[in-house]
Amino acid sequence: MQNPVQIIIIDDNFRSNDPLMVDLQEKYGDSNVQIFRRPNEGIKYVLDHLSSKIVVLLDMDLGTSEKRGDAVFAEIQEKTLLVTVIIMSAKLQSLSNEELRGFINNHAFSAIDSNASVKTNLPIINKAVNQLSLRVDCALEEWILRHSPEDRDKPYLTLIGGEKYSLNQILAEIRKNTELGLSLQKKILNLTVELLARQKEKLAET
Amino acid sequence: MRSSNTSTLKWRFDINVLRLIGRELISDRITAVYELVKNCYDANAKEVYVEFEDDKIIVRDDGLGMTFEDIRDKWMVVGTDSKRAEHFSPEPFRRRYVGEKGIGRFATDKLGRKLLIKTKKEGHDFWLFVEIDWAAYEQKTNESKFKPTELPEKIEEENNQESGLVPISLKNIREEILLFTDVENNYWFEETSHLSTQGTSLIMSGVRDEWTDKDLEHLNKELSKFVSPFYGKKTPFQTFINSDQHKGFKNLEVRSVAINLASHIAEIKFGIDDQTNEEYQEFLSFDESSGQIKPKRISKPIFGFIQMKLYFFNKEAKAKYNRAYPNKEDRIDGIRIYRDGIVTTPFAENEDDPMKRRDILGIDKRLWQDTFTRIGTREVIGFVEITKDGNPQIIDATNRQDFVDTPEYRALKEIIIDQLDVFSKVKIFQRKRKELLNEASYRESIKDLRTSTKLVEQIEKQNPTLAADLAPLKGQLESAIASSKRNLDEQKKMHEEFLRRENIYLSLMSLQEYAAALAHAVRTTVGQILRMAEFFVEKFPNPKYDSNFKEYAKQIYDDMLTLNRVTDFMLSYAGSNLEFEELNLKVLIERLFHLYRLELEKEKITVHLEIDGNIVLFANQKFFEEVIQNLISNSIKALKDTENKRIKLSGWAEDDHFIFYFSDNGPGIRPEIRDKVFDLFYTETAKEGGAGVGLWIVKTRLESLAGKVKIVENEMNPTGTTFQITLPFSKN
Repeated sequence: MQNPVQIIIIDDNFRSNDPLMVDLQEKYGDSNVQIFRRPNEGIKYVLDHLSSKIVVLLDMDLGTSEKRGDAVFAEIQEKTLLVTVIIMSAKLQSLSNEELRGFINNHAFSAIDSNASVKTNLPIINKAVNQLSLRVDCALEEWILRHSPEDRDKPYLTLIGGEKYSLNQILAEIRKNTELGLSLQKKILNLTVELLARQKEKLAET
Repeated sequence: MRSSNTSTLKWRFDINVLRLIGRELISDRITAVYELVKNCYDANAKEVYVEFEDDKIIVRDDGLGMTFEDIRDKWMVVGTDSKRAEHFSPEPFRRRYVGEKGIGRFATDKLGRKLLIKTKKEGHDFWLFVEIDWAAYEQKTNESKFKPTELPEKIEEENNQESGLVPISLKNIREEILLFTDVENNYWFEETSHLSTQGTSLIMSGVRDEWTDKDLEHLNKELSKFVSPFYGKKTPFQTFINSDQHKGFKNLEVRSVAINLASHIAEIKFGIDDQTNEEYQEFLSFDESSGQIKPKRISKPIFGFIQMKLYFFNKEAKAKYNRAYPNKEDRIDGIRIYRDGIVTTPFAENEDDPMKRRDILGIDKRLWQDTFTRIGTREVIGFVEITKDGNPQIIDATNRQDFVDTPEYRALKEIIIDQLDVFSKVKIFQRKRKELLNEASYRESIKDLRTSTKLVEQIEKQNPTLAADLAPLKGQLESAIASSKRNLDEQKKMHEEFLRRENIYLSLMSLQEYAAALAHAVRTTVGQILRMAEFFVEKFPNPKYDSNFKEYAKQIYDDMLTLNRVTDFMLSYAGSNLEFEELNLKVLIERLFHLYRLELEKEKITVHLEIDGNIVLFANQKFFEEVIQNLISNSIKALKDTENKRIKLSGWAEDDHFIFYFSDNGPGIRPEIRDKVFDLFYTETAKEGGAGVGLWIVKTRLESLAGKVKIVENEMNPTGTTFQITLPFSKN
């Protein structure tokens, strides 16, 4: 079975019984929706679970004595670009242009009003989750999961330097945004495009 | 004259990197020049000339110069940064490299379309010239984009115009090829007999933007802050701006003109105590008796040792400065941080509009606190000196806009603001002294006038015939005395009026903050209620959600009660008397506890009060009452499950303020939430009816009285909470 998507909410005021929680837990499973009130704990969790598929709902205002949401966002982005982040704010209109530019340039998925109704915000979160499956790492994960658990840990790729990587290790490298991961990802994309170009007929059949 | 044939040189690099670094990362022209000057500094230059001629900008230094190999292998090869392996420039200066990111060279593209490098090492008998035409690189890229050459044949064959997919793959492959460019750059050598000469000139022609007098003045201002005054003496580094076309810029020596006219200069250093052999950091403090700023010693701060020099401009000094340097008022612009002698990147950018300037240290963002005495960025120039080795946790953010938000950086910011507050005390001291001087001079003149009257009376007594002649003089003296008395009274009244207005102003400004916090909190609560109501609309009835329905109904009810309480508070504020008056604290506090006596008895809470009997505070009574009432009601809730319940309040006068400790022996507040408990709607006692409003009121009311509250080490055993509250007797 494919690994479940995790929804991580980093917000100091988000109630654990908020109706949005009820819907999220119903859709993604109780244990896959978690709230972190302190930004550092949230960051740590996300960075410790880079091999999972994660959507982060990140509040901008995390309390007077804590980091602001943009700093949390930057910290996550520094380590990986493969975590989807949705910015939440009760004062969306008062975000500065500098902050907004930062979010857009760094590919925040969306910015939502934390006071809006569930009907408004839930579809955006679902869209972010759906988008995950369109990414290389997630497509690769799906493909890896079609192999037997033993095969997944067998050496699959040998680099020029002699290092061997299993399928699971390749996936981890991509998720962690390492140099090898980035280079592999680029090659997979290029290869895919080239294969598509050569076998257009097959593409048309799907 | 060229003494050898021109040859060509190719660099292989990604044109996109050039664009990204040269044009996008270097956000403006001033920063571009700045980056080039940094390179001169790294090359051990002693003098740098930034020259503006017709269509050229020349950055000329007397630094170490470059060899052909330096230029070929390092100068523009991306990822090769010779400075990284070695952190310091060669002898004699051993400067820590500041152009570490290796981006300075790309700044030339930001400034001009063509670049001519002229460079020479000491001892060489030739100058090396290299020409770079940035336009050729761009042209090459543009041409390649549309030429389907060099593509693998197979793909060419399969290219089918009907499919939308193929062009994408072609584009990808082309981009891959375009990573490397093949532009040829001319270079040649010219002989010289001046063996001892060394240096580099970057001659940028085809200047991209026009430079006005104003732009040059900005450049002058920014460059004047490049090297900190601490460091400048150690390694001579002088920049000049030279232009015939801009008035006042003929070989202009770049220097910080402002600091000479400051009214107060203060400096803090660090070192090792001769006697105890312990390391110490100095910290400024204001000595009330002498009116002087004096450094005190503290132990090593968490961010490491720093040096700091502050130049403060009082009203007179600012006026003097404006007369001496008209239209250069923005030279007095706050505090900058220097690392190893050179200004840190977040401060290097240029912004015309003062409103858009970033206040990185948060000096002007301190809202309404001490509005009348607060020191702003327009009154001070400061140099904070840190080092890469000594302050490793003060890190430039990758976006070059600020520092990384570390606890060490926060502590550094806090200490810088604290240092500024010392100057606020100077401000208060001076104002007070001025008032006293005025008062004394009026009293003195009344005394003199009285003596004169007595003299006249004596003369009149001795010569009664003069009475008629002396009468007008007597009349004048009497009216002068009366008028001086009126002036004295007037001054007293004006002082009182000033205090009254200041207090009202502070209260109103705090109200502004209340309004913002309140609007935010109300909106959040309404949002929560909205989602719960939406849950009913969408899902009711459904037995699966019965427990949710029940929970939400109760929650909606509680949230509404909270909203009610907050709006009541706002209404009470609207009707508040904002006047300040003298309050006897012992009497007032005892009366307040008396009001709660029934509830305290019912809860079996023992109260222990220890207040100095003669303390009189100048404050708003209602605000003070609300502080005490909310602390009492907070403690009653906190003590709900405690045995032998106790509340203790002890207070005394300390220097110029009243300090009191309010404690209970409840379960206590965890250290990690100590700052949060003062936030609106934050509560740990929801079950006991806490709505997260009380401690917020305590904090905001105290702020409007210019006081402070914090949670300190608990004085009760074994558990409990202790609030420390400080209130100034009078802000004057």
